[in-house]
Amino acid sequence: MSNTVIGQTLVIDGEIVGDESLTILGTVKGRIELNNKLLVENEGNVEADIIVDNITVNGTVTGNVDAREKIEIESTGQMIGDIRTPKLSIKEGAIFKGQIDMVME
Amino acid sequence: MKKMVLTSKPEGFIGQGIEIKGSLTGDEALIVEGKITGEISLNNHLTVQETAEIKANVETVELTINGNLEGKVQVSELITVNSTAQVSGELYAPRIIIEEGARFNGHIEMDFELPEGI
Repeated sequence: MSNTVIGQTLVIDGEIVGDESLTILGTVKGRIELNNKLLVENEGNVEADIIVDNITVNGTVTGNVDAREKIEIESTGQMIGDIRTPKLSIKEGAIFKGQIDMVME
Repeated sequence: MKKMVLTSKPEGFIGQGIEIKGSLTGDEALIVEGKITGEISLNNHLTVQETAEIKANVETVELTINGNLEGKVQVSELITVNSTAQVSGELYAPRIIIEEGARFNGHIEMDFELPEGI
């Protein structure tokens, strides 16, 4: 299935719902609910509450994140918010502030 | 009005499995196969593919419609409504092409003053 890309100049204010993978290079404010994988690239800026299967953060995410599978905060990633996930990785260099709830599978 | 350079290679793509409610703004070319409800303001070319369902007020430089679009559309250069399109609402643009087979209900105006800001 094709991969949705929110390009660098795009700004979305509202709600994104879907079941395909999503890559964000632009700005999204509001709410994201995805039955798939979310990738926030270096340039990406997300201010949203997020429900997703798994999320990889190279850019900036502000908001609460509920991941069914995994949260990965890469070395360039910045994340502020409370997270809930069974699996978590935070790389050296990453910035994180918030509550972590590692749910048992 | 500043003349935008239209890029042929789209940088934004909204796939069939994605639904967006709210406002979407930007400077890059965008192809939509999914659903958008709300507002779209794009300083570039917007392509509405056959599977797309858009209910929005749209402001863009160029617009190509192959799918479903409902709303008020203001385009500064060219609207192309292709044969697979289903459109209802208002279209405002200096140039509008409607291909045979396209369904259109609503109002068309080809001569209008651009509002400030696009």
